[in-house]
Amino acid sequence: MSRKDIEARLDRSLANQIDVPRLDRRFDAAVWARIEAAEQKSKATNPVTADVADLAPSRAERASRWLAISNYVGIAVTLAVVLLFVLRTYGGYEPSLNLDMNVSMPVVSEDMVTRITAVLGQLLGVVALAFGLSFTSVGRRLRASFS
Amino acid sequence: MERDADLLAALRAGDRRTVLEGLMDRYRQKVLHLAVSIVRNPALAEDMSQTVFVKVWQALPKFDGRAALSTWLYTIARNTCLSAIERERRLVPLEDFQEAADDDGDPMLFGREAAGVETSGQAAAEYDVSRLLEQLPEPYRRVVVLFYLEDRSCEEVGELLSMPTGTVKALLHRGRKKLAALAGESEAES
Repeated sequence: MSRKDIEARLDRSLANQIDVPRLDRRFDAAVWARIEAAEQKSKATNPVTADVADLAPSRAERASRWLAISNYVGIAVTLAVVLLFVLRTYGGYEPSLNLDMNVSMPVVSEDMVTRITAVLGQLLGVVALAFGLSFTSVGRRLRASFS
Repeated sequence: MERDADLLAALRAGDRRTVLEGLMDRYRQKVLHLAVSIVRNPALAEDMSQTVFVKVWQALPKFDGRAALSTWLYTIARNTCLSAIERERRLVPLEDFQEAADDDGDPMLFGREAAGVETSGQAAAEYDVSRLLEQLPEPYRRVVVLFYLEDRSCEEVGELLSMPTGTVKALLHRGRKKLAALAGESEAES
């Protein structure tokens, strides 16, 4: 059988066999019944908050509010830094920051720094590996068994 | 209620019931097609479609009109079906899930028997689509199934899957080539 014959036969088979039943008003009735049941259940489990549930901000709304706040803070800090830079460059303004602090810093040897860096690096590597593995099929199954 | 504009006007007037009735009237079949292309089981697809409209009912007060109603509805439908599949996959390994479904005698949607096609005469000259589709990788299978359910309209498939028409055409072309290769192999075996 030639390639063209196979493709024609395949097209005919797909057209004839891929089909679904037509949904009608019974489907709508089933949806309304489920909505009714969900609302009854919601009122039964939480009669006080059920009516005000729509008034409480959703998780997405709360998240977007926090995002907006952090954006405003970021913009304000950036503007302040830019203003300071412009004043220093063109106005000769030099802010005098004299905190008058007397803090003794711990003395850390170079060898100690190297060792701490090595340990932290290994720790970070292990955490990154575990994080990556948690998104594999095995990791997902493992997470599901704990949740 | 014939157009989305009428539904939006009803929504602005706070008539949520009329909006949902209009949406179900216009889109219930398309939502079922989309669900079938993702979950591949008729009973589950219908159940998912009902869940989609329940979610739409709950989300309607938050609809901001930035996207078209149909786009918003299809996004809810896709996410609902994909989440259901993901949940099943997390709880039970996919292979076990497939076996369990087969053991229950859960009818797969497509194929000669599902289409009521007899295995003699004209029907014998047809491939078993269900078996071939099982072997087709996911992005192709979804597009191929929707293409035939949506009366061969790539634009409709693109709208349902939120994909450019060009991408749909490319996936469809490659998917059919792969299916033809699979059909050729089964031909050679028999």
